[in-house]
Amino acid sequence: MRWILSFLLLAFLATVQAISSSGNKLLVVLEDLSEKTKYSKYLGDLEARGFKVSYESPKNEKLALFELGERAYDHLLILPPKSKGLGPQLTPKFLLDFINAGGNILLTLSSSHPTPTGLVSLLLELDIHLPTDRTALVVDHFNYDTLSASDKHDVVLVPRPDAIRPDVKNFFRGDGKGGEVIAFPRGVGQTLGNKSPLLTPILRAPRTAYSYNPKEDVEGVEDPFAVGPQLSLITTMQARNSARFTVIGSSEMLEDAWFGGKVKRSVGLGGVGIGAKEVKTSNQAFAQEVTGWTFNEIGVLKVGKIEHHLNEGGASSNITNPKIYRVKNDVTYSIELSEYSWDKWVPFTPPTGDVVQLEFSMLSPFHRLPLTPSTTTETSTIYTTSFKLPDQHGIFNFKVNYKRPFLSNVEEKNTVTVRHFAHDEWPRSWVITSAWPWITGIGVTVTGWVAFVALWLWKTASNAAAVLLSGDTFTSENLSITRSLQSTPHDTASPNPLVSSDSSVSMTSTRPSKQRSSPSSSQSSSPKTSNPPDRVEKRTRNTLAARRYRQRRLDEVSGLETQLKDTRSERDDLKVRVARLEGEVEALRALLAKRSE
Amino acid sequence: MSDTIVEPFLKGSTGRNTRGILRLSILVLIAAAAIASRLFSVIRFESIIHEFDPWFNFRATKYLVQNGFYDFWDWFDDRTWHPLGRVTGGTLYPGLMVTSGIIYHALRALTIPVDIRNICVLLAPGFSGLTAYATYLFTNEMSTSPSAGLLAAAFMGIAPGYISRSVAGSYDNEAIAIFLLVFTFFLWIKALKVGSVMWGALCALFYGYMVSAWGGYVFITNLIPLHVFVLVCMGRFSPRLYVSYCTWYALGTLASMQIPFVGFLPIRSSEHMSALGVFGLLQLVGFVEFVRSGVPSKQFATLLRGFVLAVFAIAFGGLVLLTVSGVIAPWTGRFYSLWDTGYAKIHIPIIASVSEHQPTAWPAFFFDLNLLIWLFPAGVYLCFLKLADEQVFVVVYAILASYFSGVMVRLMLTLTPIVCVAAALVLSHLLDTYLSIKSPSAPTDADIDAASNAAPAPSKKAAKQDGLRAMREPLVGIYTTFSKTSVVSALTAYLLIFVLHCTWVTSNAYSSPSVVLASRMPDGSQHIIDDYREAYQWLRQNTKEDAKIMSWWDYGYQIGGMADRPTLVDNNTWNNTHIATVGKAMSSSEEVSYPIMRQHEVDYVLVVFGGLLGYSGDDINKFLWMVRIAEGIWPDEVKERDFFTERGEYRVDEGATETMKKSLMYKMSYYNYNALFPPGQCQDRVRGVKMPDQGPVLNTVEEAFTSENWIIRIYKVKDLDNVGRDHAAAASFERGNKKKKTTKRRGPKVLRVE
Repeated sequence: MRWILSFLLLAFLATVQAISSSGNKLLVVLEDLSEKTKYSKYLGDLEARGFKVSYESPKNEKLALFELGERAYDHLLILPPKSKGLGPQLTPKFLLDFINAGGNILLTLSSSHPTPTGLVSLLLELDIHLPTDRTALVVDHFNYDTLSASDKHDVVLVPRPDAIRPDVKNFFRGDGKGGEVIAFPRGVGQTLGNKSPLLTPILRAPRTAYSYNPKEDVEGVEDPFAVGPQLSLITTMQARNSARFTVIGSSEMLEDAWFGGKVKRSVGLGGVGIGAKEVKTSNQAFAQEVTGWTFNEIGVLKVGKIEHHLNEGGASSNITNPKIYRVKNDVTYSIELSEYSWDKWVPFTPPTGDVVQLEFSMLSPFHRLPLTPSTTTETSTIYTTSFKLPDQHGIFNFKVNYKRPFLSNVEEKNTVTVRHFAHDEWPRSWVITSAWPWITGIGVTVTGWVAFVALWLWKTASNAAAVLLSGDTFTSENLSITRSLQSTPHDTASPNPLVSSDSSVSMTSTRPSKQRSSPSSSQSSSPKTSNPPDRVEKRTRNTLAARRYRQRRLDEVSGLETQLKDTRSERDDLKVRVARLEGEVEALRALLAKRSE
Repeated sequence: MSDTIVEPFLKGSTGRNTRGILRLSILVLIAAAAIASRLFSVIRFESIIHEFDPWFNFRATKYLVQNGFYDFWDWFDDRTWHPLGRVTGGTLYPGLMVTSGIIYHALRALTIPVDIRNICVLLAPGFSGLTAYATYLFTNEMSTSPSAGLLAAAFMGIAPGYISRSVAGSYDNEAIAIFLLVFTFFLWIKALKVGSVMWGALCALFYGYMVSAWGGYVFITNLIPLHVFVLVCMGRFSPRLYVSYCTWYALGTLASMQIPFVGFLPIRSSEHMSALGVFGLLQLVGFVEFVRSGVPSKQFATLLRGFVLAVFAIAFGGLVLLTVSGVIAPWTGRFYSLWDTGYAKIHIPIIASVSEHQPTAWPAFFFDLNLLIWLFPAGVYLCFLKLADEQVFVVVYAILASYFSGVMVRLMLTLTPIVCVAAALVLSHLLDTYLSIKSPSAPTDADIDAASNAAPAPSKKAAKQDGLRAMREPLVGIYTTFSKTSVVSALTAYLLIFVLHCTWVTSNAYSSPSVVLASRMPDGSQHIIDDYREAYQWLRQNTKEDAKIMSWWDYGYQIGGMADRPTLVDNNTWNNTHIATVGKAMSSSEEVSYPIMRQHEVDYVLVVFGGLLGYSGDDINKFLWMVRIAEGIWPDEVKERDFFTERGEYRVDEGATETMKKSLMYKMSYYNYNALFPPGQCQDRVRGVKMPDQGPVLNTVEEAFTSENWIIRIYKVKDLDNVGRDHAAAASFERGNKKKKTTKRRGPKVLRVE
C-alpha cells in the first residue's frame, strides 16, 4: 500500500510543479559559481518550475554531456564565460551531438565577454552569424532606455514580438494587452542565413537598430554588420528531431537587475513615445516564455493514436490499421494530437488559417486532404478524414507532415499496400450493361448450335429409316452425321460426285453406292427401340411415302420405255418405206434413160 | 549355343515383347543419365537455387505453397519494385510454380514430406527425363527406324544446349517448357497424321500448359501456322490438316487466354496474328476445295483461287491497317531485335544489356551441340528425301530455329531439340545401313527378299531398275566387313567423344550456381567464395524488415529471395523508367542521386565490386548499361559520352573523367579501397589498373557492410542532417574541418526573408 501512496504523492507533486515534457535535468554552465546570484531570480524561476538544476563550470574536468553514450542532461543553459574557451567537454561536436540526441540548449551571449570560438563555429554550423567584431553590440538611437543608457543608447527597448506569420502560434506575446517592453541591454545581434528552414527569430531588432563596435573610434559606422529587423536578438533553431536551440543575444537581460527594473523609452521615429512614462520591463515573463519554449514546456506536440480502417460495409472494416487495402476502397484516417502547455497536455488546435493535412502518397501525393477535428478529449483532439483510395496500386504512405515554427515537428508515416482487384472482385458480366450484347451473342450461339444439332439428328434418323425400309442396307458407320447428310435416297440410286471426292471427314467410311449389294444385316444404330412412338409412326409414314414415290418412278420409266419402243418401231417402218420408195425411183429413172436412148 | 537360347526371344510375339522391354529399359536408362548428368552442381556445392530468375520462381513457389492457389493468382507483391509494387499473379507464367506446387502436395498426400526447395532444385533434371521421352516419341513419328527415337532421346538427354538451362537448381521456366515444347510438337504431328480431333485437342491442351509456363510459347504459335502454310502452299491441303489445325487453334487460343499475363494478346498482338491468319486461310481453302469438288469446272476453280488470294491480300492489308491504327499491338521491341540484332542496342538498351540476348558466337554452336551440329544438315537432307507432312515440319522447324539461335544466345534452347532429332535420323540411318550382320552374299533374284531386309533403300532401287539388263544383278549395299567395322567404329568413337564432351561441358561450364563462386587454392583444393550469401544474410539479420534496398536490377530477385528485403528494381524488367531511375541514381553525382533515393525511401544501396578478387561480373563493368538506360530517359542529365575520356577510353584510374569520378557507383565501389593497400600500390584486379592513392569521398551514404572479398558492398543512406546543413558540410564537420568564417563580404548582402 505504501508504494501506491508514494506514487500518488509523486503524481500529485508532478501536477503541482510544472516540468518540461522532456525531462527536468538541467545543466547550467557557469564559469564562476558566484555569478549565480546575478541570475538568482531567473534560476529561481526555473527551479520553481520543477527543473533539477546542476551547476558546472566549463573548466570542470568531470563535466560531461554524455554518460555511457546516453544524454546525462535534458537541457543545457550556457551562460557567457569569461574565458576564451568552453573546455574540452563543450566543443561544437559535443554540443551538436547533444542536440542530435534530443537535448535542448539555451545559449546566451554577451558583448562584454567575447564569444568563445567554439560557440561561434557551432553557430556557424547552424547558419547563425555573429558580428565579426567580437565586442560589437546592438544600439538604437530611437528605442533606447533613457534611464540607464541615455548616453550610449545600447539598452534597446523592444515591444513584445508579433507572430512571424499570421498563421503561426505566438508563444511570446505575454498577456497580449500590448504596451509591454522588453529591455535588451548590451546584446549581440545575430544574422541568419537564408537557406535553413529550421531557423526562426523570436525577437528582432527595431527598424533603426544596428550593430556597432564601441571599440572602433570611427564616428559613423559606414558598413554595419546588419541593421534593422535583419538583426535577430533572440534566435531559435528547432532541429528535425524537435530538439531546440535558442540564442539569446544578451545574457544581461536575464539578470535580476532587469527583471522588473524600470525603464523609460526615448523618442522614436516620427515622435513615437513622446512623453513615455517609466514602465517596468517584462523581461521576467518574456524570459520564462523563451526558456519554457526552449526547454519543451510549451509548443510541444504529441501524436497519440493513429488509426485507419476500411470505411465500407462488412466485417473487414472492423480491423484497424490493416496492412493492405484495395484500390478504390473507402478509408477513414484519424490521428490524435495533443499539445503540452507548461504542465499538462491539452487538445491541440491549429491557429486560424492553418490546418493539419493528410497526404496519401506514393512518390508524390495522390491526395492532400485537410484533417478536421472530430472529437476532443481532455488532453487531445482527434483529427479525421475519409476518402476513396486512388485507382493506382502500389505501396502508399498515410503521411501527416505538420511542421510549423515554434511547434515541434509532427512527421507520421504509415505505410500501407494498395493492391489491385482480385480476380473475383470485379463486377460480374451481367451487371455491366455494355456486356449484354456479348452475353446475348453467347446465348444465341449456344441455342443455335443446340437447335442445329437437334435438327440434324432428327434429319439423319429419318433418312436412315427411309433407306432401311427401301431395302438398302447401311453399316453403322454410314449413319455417322457427315455421311448421312450426303446420302439422301437420290444418292443411293446414282452416285453423287460430291461423295466420291475425299471431302468427308471420316476417311474410313465407304461409299453408299458400294454398299448396295452387301448383304449385311440391318443392325443400324439409329432406329432404337427406345424411340418414342410418334417417331416410329412418322418413320413408317415416311417409308410408305418413299415406297410410293419409288413405285411411281418405276411406272414412269416403264411408260417411257414402251413409248420409246413404239417410236423406234415406227421409225424403222418409215425407214423401210423410204428405202423402198427410193428403189422404186431409181428403177423408174433407169427405165426413162433407156427409153430416151 | 547362345543363338539357340536367344532365338525364342527374338522371334514372334515374344520377340516383340522382348524388344518392347528392351526399349523401355533403354528409355529409363536414358532418363536416368539425363538426370544424373545434371546433378553436378548439387554434388559440388549444395542443393541451392541458381542464378537470378530462379530465385524469384522459388520465392513465388513458396508463396503458392504457403498461401494457396487463389492467393497466388491474385498476388500483389509489395516487396518488389518499391514503391510501385508488382501485380505478380498477373505478370508471371504460373506453369512452373503450379507444377512444383502440385508435385509438393502430391508427395505430401503420399506422406513423403519433401522440402519445397528440393522439389524446385530437382524439377529441371526430372523434366529433362521427360523431355528425352518426348523426343523419342517425336522422332518415332519421323522415322520408321526403331533406333532413331532412342538415339534422339539419348542426344536430348545429354546435349549441353539443353543442359545449360536445366541443371539441378536452375529452376527456370525453361525447365519444364522444353519438355512441353517437344511434346506439343509430337502431339501436333500425331494430330496431323491421324487428322483426329482428339489429338488436336490434346495438342491444344499441352499448348495451353506451355503458354502457362514460358513466354517462348510464341515459337509454337508461329511455327505450327508456318508449317500449315507451307503445306497449303505445297498443295497438300487435306481434311486431316483442316481438322487438326482448327481444333488446335480454337482450343489452344482459348487455353492461352486463360493465363492473365497473356490475356487478350492472342487476338491483339502481331506475334499471334500469323496463327489467326492461317486459321482464316484454312477456312477459305477448305471452302474452295469444297466448292471445287462440287463444281468440276477448271475455270471456276481458277477464279476461286484468285478469290482466295484477294481475300488473303485484303486480310493482310487490314492487319497492317489495324496495327498502324493501334488496335493490334505492334511488334514489341524484343521481336524487332530478332530481325535486326543492332536494333536493341540503339533503341532498347535494357534488352541489349542482358547477356543472353546477345547474338550467338559461332563456337557456341559446337560447344553446345558438338557432333550433332554437323549431323544436323544431313538430317534435314534426309527429310527432303521422304517429304511427308511431318518431314516438312522438321524442315520448317530447322530453318526457323537455326535463324533464331543465331540471333540470340538463349534461343539455342529451341534449336537443340530439332538438332537432336535430325542428328538421330542421320545416325540411325547410317547405323541401320552399316550395322546389319547379314551380308547379301549372293544377290541373285531369289535373294532379293533377303537383301531388302538388310538394306531396304538400295534394294528397292535395285528392284525398281530391275528391267535394265546392266542392273539385273544389283550390287548396291554394304557387303564387306571392313567397311562395316570401320564406319561403325568411327561412329562409336564419335559418340563416345560426344558423351565425354557433354559431360565436360556440363561439369565445367553449366554447373556453377553463380551465387556461390568456386576457386582453386594453390594446392588444388577447392575454395568457396560465398560473398553473396554472406551479404544477403547480413541484410536479413541487420536491417529492418521493410528496409528498401537499391541495387542494379540483376540482384533484385536474389535480394528478394535470399535477404527477404524490398527492392527497387529486379530482373522482371517490366518498367524501364524505374530501372532508368536507379541507373540515374547510380550514375549521377551524390547531390543528384540523394533526392532520388529519398523519394524512393531507399535505406541501403548494394553494389557489387570485383576489383579485389578479379571478379569480372561486377557493377563497374555493367556501369555503362546503367548509363545508357538512364540516358534513354534523361538524355539531358546523363550522357554516356561524359564517362569516356577524350580519347574514348572507359577508365577508372587516375585518368577517369570527372563525371565518372563523381558518380555514386564509382564512389561506392572504390570507397576506402585504397586503405587496403600500401600507398602507391592500390590496384583494381578486374580492370588491371593502378588506382589513385586518394580514394573518393562519400557524404550522403555511409558504409554499412563489406563482404569478406569485397564483392558486395552495402551502404546506408543517411537521413537529412538534423540541424539543416547539407550533407557535404555535415560530413566535413564530422571530419573536423571548421567552417570558414566569412570575414570578407563578397557582393551584395543576402537578406533573410521569412
